[in-house]
Amino acid sequence: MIEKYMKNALECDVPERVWEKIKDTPITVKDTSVKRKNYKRYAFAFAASCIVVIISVILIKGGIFHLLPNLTENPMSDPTSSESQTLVTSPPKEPTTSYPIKEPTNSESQPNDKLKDMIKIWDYRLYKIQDMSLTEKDLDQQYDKEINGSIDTVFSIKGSSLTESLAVKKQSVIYRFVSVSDGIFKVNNKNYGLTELNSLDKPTEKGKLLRETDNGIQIYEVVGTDKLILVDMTKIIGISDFEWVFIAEMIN
Amino acid sequence: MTNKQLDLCIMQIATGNPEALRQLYDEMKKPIFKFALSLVKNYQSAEDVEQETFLKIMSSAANYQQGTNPKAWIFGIARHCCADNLKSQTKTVFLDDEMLLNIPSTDDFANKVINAEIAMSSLDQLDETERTIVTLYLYAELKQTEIAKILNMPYFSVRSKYGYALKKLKSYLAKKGVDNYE
Repeated sequence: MIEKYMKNALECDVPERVWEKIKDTPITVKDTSVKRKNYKRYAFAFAASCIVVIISVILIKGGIFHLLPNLTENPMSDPTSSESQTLVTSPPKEPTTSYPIKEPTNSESQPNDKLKDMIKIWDYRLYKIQDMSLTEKDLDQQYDKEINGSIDTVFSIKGSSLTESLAVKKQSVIYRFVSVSDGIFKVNNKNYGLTELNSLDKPTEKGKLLRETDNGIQIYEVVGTDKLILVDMTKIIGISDFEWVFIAEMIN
Repeated sequence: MTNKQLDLCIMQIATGNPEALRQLYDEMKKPIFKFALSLVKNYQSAEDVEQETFLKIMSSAANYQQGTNPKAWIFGIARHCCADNLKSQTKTVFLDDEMLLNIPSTDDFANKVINAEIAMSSLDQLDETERTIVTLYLYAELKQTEIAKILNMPYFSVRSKYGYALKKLKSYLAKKGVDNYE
């Protein structure tokens, strides 16, 4: 009861002026150099873990007594030696695509997992997150699609078509995404549709610039295949200062 | 807004999204202002604290770690802004003109003003930690576990200090002739 009294006693109208004062202040956006620092820290931790694993495997596999003469032959147990590499490398996987891949060169400038959640591709169309104000009542039809063995589900929103906006449920939160661009591009008389963000770990190799649209979308060829193209939509997404490069596949 | 939604909102602010800032503002302006008012005891100063808190959120959102308790993070900032404001105050004016203007004018306006004055002065009977716990609980509407996190204190200490603070407030209010809490 005393709590209610204390709460009610300070009941007053909250000023609205604050918004006017802050709304035009620039927001400090994520500094990619921080990411780069973290990346180095993770790389260092990963390298240290690899060395520990290599030493452990040598000790276990060779046995401590067998190791002694080996150490004489190869006193540094060089982790970059071919033997060590064989010990820590995962078995080779079946390639899922035929196009060549290369090591990332500009991974720091690509969006991280957090930011990836802010865009959505559905039916070759690109959507950008808008808000979280929807409730179950606002949802209309559910659409499911199987992508890489998992089901991707979106909902249409009452009073709006799927080409305008859609909703995605994550646990109890419903996110509204609005369409920012049609994701079908015509290149050399072939249609390509957006499928996914270019991988951060194994990016598809960007070839020469094929064309640039009026609104600043750049389309690149993919080295070694004409079944895919890369589409740089950084200028129209405008979330942070990352490069937003997507893979588009041939659709007819 | 749930903590997860607040979490996402702060992440979006970190990417420079003004819509997310507006959402966070709409959600948090009232608890931040009430919390500030209960500590700085002056409408104008509370407004300054609210503004300063949002500006700091905008400049620090990029350093926000996802999964941190967002309310604890926001009120941690607000608390520091209140402390800075109190340091710069030369004289505390209880119930400044702005506050009187913004108390809803109803039939019992006079009673409301008196109650506001008594409630503010009652908080002065508490030591700093007790006052922070009470204001975070009542006006910022944080859970005691969240308050424990902000103050870096064990939960049970927060709970017992809160109980002790309520007893002090009750005793002070009785002296002021307030025994009907409705």
